[in-house]
Amino acid sequence: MRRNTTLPTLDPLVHEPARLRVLAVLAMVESADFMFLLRQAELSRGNLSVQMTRLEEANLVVATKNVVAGRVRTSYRLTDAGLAALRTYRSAMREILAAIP
Amino acid sequence: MRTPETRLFQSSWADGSLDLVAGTAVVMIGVGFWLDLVWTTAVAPPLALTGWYVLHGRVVAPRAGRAVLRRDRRERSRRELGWSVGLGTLVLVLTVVAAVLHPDRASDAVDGLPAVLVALLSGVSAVLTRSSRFAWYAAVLAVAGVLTVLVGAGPGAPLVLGGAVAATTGAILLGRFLADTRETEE
Repeated sequence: MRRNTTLPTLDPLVHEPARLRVLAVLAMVESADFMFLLRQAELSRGNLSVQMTRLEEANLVVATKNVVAGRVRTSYRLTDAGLAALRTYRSAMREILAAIP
Repeated sequence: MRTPETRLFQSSWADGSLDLVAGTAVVMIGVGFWLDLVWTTAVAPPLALTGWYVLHGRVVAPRAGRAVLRRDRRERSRRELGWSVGLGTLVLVLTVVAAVLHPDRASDAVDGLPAVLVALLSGVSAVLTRSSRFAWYAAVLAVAGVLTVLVGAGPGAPLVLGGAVAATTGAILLGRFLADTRETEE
């Protein structure tokens, strides 16, 4: 049976606060490395690492590894699917917020 | 209202390294004027640029991380830099024209000119980095430049004062940044 819901559903993958912060930071730049995301999203190293793996698995971000001065530097970029997911989330959230009198 | 993207862009200039290095260079030039070592005017800017590149690359970037800005932001910065260079050239040309037309007044005002020109550069930096503190440095330099003409303190004093304000602010900001960001790289 089809549910006739009043409010749109939010994608839990995007809605989780830590992931939402990371996705929002990535939406503001072309690409960013792990340290930049760590500072801007204000997450712990372990938490960020876990969230980035989930976002990569969901194909919302893509990671590129480069070796600079003998150190591995991972750079992340939002994919087209990631940007689309963020835009869908924004319109859903706007609808939900519009319900507040 | 500042957008999150503007705040993010501003935050990339908030570590104080630019203030510290540029301020030190301005102090160097000011001291050069005092000691009649005018060659410091030619040496200080490339030295500052190299110094900032090394300081930012070795100390700031490993802690703050690196990001490639969005294309629209990069194009806006490029456009603003173009306008700033145009404005700077216009001011220089107008200054030269004024000096040729009124040589008597120009000789009185010449002591304040270096500080006013550096103030102009600082104002441009305020626009380019969206950081109001560079506008404050510009104001300090401009006021000190005018005062030096009035009291006859020579061209070095306003540069040393303005440069010291910027360098001290930069040192404080960099100190705070280093205290807040102990972890480096991955």
